[in-house]
Amino acid sequence: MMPAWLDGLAVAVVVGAAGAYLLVRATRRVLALHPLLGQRHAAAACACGSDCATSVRGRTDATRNSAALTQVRAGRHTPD
Amino acid sequence: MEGSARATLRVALIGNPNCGKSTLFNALTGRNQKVANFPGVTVERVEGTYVHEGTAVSVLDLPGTYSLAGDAPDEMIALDVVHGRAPGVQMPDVFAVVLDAENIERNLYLATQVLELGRPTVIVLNRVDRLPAAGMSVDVVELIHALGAVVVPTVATVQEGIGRLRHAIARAPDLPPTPLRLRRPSGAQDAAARRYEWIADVMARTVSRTVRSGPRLSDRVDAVLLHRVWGPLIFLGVMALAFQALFTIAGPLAALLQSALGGVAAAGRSVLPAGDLRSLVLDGVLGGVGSVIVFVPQIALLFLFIGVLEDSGYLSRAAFVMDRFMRPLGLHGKSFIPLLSGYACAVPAILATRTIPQTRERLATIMVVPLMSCSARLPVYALLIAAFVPATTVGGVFTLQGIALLGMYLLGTGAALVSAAVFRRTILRSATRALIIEMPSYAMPTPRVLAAAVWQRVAVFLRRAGTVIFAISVLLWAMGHYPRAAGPATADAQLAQSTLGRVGHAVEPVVRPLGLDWKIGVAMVASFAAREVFVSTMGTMYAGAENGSDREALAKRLRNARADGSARPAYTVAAGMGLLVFYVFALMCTSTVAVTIRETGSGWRGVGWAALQFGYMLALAWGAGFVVYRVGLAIGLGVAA
Repeated sequence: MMPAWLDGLAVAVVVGAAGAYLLVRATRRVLALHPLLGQRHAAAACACGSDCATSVRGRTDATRNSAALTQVRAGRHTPD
Repeated sequence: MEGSARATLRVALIGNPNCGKSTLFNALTGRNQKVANFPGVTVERVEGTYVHEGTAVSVLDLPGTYSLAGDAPDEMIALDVVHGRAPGVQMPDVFAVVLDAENIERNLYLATQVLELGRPTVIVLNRVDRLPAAGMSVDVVELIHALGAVVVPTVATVQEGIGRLRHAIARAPDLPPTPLRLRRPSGAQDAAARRYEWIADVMARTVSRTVRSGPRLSDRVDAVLLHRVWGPLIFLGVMALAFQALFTIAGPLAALLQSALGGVAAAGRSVLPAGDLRSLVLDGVLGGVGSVIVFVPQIALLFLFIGVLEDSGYLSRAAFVMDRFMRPLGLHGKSFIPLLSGYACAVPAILATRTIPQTRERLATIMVVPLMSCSARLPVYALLIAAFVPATTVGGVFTLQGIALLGMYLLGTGAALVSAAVFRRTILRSATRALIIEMPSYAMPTPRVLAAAVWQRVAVFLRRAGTVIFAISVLLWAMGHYPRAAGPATADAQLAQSTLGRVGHAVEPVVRPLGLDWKIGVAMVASFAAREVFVSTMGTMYAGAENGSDREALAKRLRNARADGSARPAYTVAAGMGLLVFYVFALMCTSTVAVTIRETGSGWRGVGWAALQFGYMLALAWGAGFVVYRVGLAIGLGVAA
């Protein structure tokens, strides 16, 4: 028989950890979106998150590719 | 930088689409970059490293391009690197130009352009194992003389020639730079024509072919698969069999997993003393995560099926067949591959639209890709179909459940095509270009590559189950248990007055017109984080409510659920059908929203496209769910399954 206080403490730890994990995850997602809105000093993580199968590709240099594509769209790229 | 160049040698792999660059990249670096037998698999540059004789070599795998004058966004990425214009990427020390030996003439066009730059270059003659079957042989020594560059024959799939290639790459910077100067055999004025004339001259000296009588086997197969009538019918048949297999083959495996989870629950009950912790572990974690994990066999089969389509070379054929139906709707034939990739996940599918050169065609494809039913929807479909569609056999092979699953995929596909037509006739109007797509050689899918692809996706699914779904299940359990009811209360009464119950009752007015109750409302709200969370939420709530001690399958518990305080079924067949249709159309994926922002404008413009995408899909989902529910009631489906 587990004391009631230990039971409550164990539940509080697990629930608190789960809540903290989701909070950190959501914060990271928002930070990953940050550079996409044209702001500086942002995380260079892939916006699609780390649980995606493309993350190996996405994390590589998503932000730099994004900048390259922006140049293309802006007509600054001149193909041979 | 020159001083440190030998400490880290940078090599870029460049070549035509589908010439085996990524397979070569994997062979060189030991990485597991996605490879498949169709053009346009790699749409971003990817880096990997290996060490050769004490020198670290950084390898850059670039998207395929046919020339140094491409105009699609994925080609631009490759061209920017070649010209040293890519932001944040230094000019490579060595270019490794990959040639598909079977298509050497066309591949030499790009190779000659790179050789003219005068940078250290190694020519990789890949897939030389296919030459005998194609009736070809290549005089490598003569080719070296003609190109003035090192040529290394390889078979990347079996790692043949990789050691020689590593050696050639390491030595390339030491060779004197000798830019290729094309000797023009004739006076053709057009630059491309002159280049092809030079290539034809080289081909005559280096490549010999045996005369072939009659069409090749692949030509005969193509005559059937690309037929105007048989082509689409075969494609539909292949899809129908695949989706039926998801139920027929995966069903028993899922039952085994279910029973194993039942065993774990029984062990948990005997080990953990009664109390909140036991309820959290069994009802919250096992009920939530366990209800998602039982769909692993179906996810694995789905990706096995997609992998076979990709690696056999059928995907390009399917794109060609579907182009006839897509072009009248304003979609480019190249849109088909991103759309089909959407069956796996919308995120890589949206990235795959980079192969579409025309901006408006590309935007239209991005806007509709999430309507293709991704793998995250599969657990939701499988649960709701098992709960509300009988497993009646039809035609000896199919069951109503398999047909219903195929119907959901077809409904999503149809909605994507119609939505694309609407976009292309309104805000994204422009002329539709004709499709020119390479038909890769047919190939037997490699079990190792298939297994790696399936495992990669199953691992992603399990990681989601073990992280985000686990955490959400724990929080949902807590929200369902607190605050406590005053005095003794049934599990259902406790749930109704808990935080979860209050949230559910707040959203109930939105879902009530669809014939759904507050519990489904809670699951729908939670699934905005990830679609599979719908299943885990229902698992958590129905583990803690009516059948707390009953470990029967969740589908059965949903079927037997009763409305609050009555004997009426909580969910009718009509409501179940409406909910299924809701999930076909709804965009409940934060990753997709993020990648849409990134790919449509990288700024507030991108946010606008993502908001439009999310809004129109949600409106479509609710509207279609409502119509299906009302029609279902009208035709007598307002009963329990």
